Parts: sequence; structure tokens; C-alpha cells
Amino acid sequence: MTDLTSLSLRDVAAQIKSGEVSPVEVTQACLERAEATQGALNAFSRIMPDSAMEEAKAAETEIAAGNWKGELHGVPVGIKELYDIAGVPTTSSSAQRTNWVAEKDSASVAQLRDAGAVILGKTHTHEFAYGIVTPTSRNPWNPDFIPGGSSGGSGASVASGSTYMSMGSDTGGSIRIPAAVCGTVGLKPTFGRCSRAGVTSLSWSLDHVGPLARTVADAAVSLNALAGYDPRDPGSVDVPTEDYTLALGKDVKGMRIGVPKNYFFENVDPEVEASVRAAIEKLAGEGAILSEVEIPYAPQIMAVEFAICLPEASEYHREIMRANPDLYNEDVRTFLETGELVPATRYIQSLRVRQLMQREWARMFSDIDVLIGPAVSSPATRAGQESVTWASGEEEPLSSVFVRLSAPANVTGLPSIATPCGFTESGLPIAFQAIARPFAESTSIRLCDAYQRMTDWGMRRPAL
Amino acid sequence: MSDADAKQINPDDIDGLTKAARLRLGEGRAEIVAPALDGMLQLMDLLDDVDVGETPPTNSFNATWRDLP
Repeated sequence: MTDLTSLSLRDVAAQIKSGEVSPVEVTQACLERAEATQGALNAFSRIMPDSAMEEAKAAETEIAAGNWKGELHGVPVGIKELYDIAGVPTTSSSAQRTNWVAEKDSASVAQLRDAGAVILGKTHTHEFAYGIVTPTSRNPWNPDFIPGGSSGGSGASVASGSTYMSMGSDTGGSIRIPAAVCGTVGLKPTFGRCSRAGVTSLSWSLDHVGPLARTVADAAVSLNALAGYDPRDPGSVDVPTEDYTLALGKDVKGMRIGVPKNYFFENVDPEVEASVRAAIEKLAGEGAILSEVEIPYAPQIMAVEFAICLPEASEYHREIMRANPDLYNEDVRTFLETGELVPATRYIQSLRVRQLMQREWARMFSDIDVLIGPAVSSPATRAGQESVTWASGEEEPLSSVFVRLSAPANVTGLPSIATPCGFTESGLPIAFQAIARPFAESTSIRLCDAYQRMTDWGMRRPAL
Repeated sequence: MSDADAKQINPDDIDGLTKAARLRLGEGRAEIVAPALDGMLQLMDLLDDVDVGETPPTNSFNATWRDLP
């Protein structure tokens, strides 16, 4: 008998729809998987067996009555600890918020419930999403290594087979980083595409929400439920949504891929670079058209990212910082204290440079449909490791190692999908990212789905 | 003193900055925050290489009352 937890979301959805399996069986299998791997991975901050089984039974009844809602109906998903679930603490994986109980569901949770998804539990985040390690949790491909972050629990839960999709948030790469190092797909939509209402903020100008999933097709199904305008989110944009699954199953013939001449391949692990360049060549071999592009304002990307994120995060935390600073973990406390001291003029200057950067990126995209580069510059690093030393001899702190290549899509707000494209010799996942024009998620979905159907990287599962 | 030395943030500088921010740091925190702030401000110095001209910031205020939360 097939292990239900090894299936993709779309495959298990097809079995649920046909009656081959029930949401109750699927949820039970996922709960068992979550419990079995929790000791090694600690992906979950909270597993919710009672409510999950109630939701699964309700889905079973609805589907049996002929009221199938779609591919998420009866499918277990994970929710990052930053998201509000009514009646459940939103701890942000922090001692600051152990009793912070949400009164109502966040927009994403409400949308997933409307689609019939089963909420299996909440997944760990790096404290308040302010970091890329998620020290509470470990990587399913090797528990001596980090799962990335900040949505590290979501990456670990999807890769380990405990959930078919888990929600993440992405301010400097926090969906794509854990997706890349855990071997899952991570979809960061366009800024404004998915509502952030009810999600604890790190940086209002850079935060995005989106899914981590086992396949690009699963991410597309999830985006169908999550996309849409929401006036409760001041960043939300009233742009029509589409059926993202229509981009699946197509080829890449004629798609114009931009290959960065600068920035994206500087100080990158050799195995990562080789795998990403091989993926680009594979796509070219299937008819995509490559052209080299120059990344504009490359030296300013990280400056803009941090000049915006630091003060905004510190302002969000202003009162808590003055009440209980000792309850923060050391790294987050230092970031928050530092952000208080960044001059306001630097913040405004970064917003002006961001405007120029947006204009030049639009020009760069005039001749390409998608920009491809490594999702992150390094595979997962060992737990406790604080920096990477490159062949040049340059030592780089992990926050920069993992954020440097994902930040461009946060600063520009462009949609980006991290997609598995190989493994290191030591068995750790590698991923590329495909960045598209504003609200052109379908373009990246088409390309990444086509790549997944040419290769088997996304089908491999860790031996836990 | 070189330009770089003159710009460097030291623990002694932190007291004045935290006063302006109305933030009281705990004992020993200035030694931790000073190099972190120095690194970030050095990174932000790269913004000075861009001629922003009359470019306004990306954040703008919308005065309509439509869709107020």
C-alpha cells in the first residue's frame, strides 16, 4: 500500500476526490508522521490532533455528500507560528508571546479553511521571523543541519512528509531559503498578491506570505486559495487573480530567461552554481531562450533590504523591547536594538533608492520573462555554524549568506519560486529561483513546473 | 584619524544614540550593539553612491477613505 505521506498534494487530493482514501485516513497518517519525526526535527511548535481530526471528519462528510470544494479539501497543511489561528496562541516562537492568543483567523488561515484544508498544526519560525536559522528545528535531509528560515518548521514539515503544504512568510527570503535547503518548492508571490492580515509583522514594506509545498503544481493549487485583494492589508493590491493551475503542464519553448552576469553567481558554493547552471542549460535545451542580463543597483540591494527592515522591525517591537528585552533571543535582541539607532534619513534614502531600483529592474525585464539564479548561495549549514568562508577567503555571516540572493525579490516585490535542482555530494538539496514580472506568478509557475517534469529532484524524499 | 576611523561606531557612541531613541540598554549591551550598528551603517553607506535626484520614496499616503480598515 502506498505511503500516503509520500504523495504530492495533488495526488492525495485526487485520491480523496475519488474516494480511494478519506481525509481522516490522510490526516491520521500525517499526524503519525509528524509525531514520529518531531523528536528529530521539531518542525512543529504545536501539533493539533484533536481539531485536525474534527476537521478531517467534517471534510469526509462533506465530500461524501457530494460537496467537494477543490484540491485542498481534506488535505493536511501546516501554519507558520506567525499566523493567527482563532483560539490558539500565536507565539512567533518567542518567549515574549507564550500567551498571545488570537481572537480570529488570519486571512490565509480563513482562505485555507474555506478551501477545506485541515490545519494539522503550527510550525516553528525563527523568533519573530527575524533570522534564517530557525534554531528550534532541524533539516530532514540531515538533522545535524539547519532547516533554514525563518519558515524553517514549514520547510521541515513539508520535506518530512508531515504536511502537504505549509505556510511561510518572506521578508528577505524566509519562504525560499527553507524551501531551498529542505528540498521543497517555495513560492513568494508578488508584494500585494496575498493578504498578510493576521500575520505578525517583521517589516511591513517587505513582508510577503506564501506556501512551501512538495511540487510547483501543489504551490499553484495553494496560491489559487491564497491570492486576492484584502483591504485589511495596506500592501494588498486590487489586481485580478487567475487560475494558476492553468500554467501547469506547458513547455518552456520561447520563454526568455535572463541569466545574471553579476551578483547572483558571486560568492556561491561551487556545487550550487554547477546545479543551477545545469538547470538553466536544461531549460535552454527544451527551447527556452537565454540572454545575459546585468543586475541593476546590485551593491545597494542588501543596503536597501536592511535599511528598511531594521527600523520597521524595531518600531513594531518598540513597546516589548522596553518592557522585557531579556525575553528575546540574543540575535533578535541585537537586531532590534540596532534598528532603533538607524537614522530615519537612511530609511527614507533606502525607499528612494528602492524606487530607482524598481524602475531599472522593469527595464531589465523588458527583454526577458524570467530571471534565474540560485535561490541561496549555500546549501544548509551545520547547526551552530555562524558564517561561511568562501574560496576568496572572505568570511560572510550566515544572515548575509542566505539573504543576499533572495532579498532582490523582496526589495523589488517581484514573485519568485524556489525549485529543487540538485543535491550536494553530501546529500543536501540545492535550488534555483525563478523571478518574474509583477503579478506574473503564472510565468514562474509554468517554467518551474516544466523543469520539475523534466527532472526527479523534487520527487526525492529524505530517509528519516 | 582616517575617515573610516572617524565614522566607526564605538561603544562610547551608543549612549548618546540610545538617549535620542529613548531606549535604555542593559549592562554590557553597548559592546554588543556598537559593532552590529557599525556594520549596518557601513552597509548603508553604499546608498550614498546613488544619485537619487528628485526621486520620491516608495511609501506614499493615499488620502481616499476607500477601504479603510
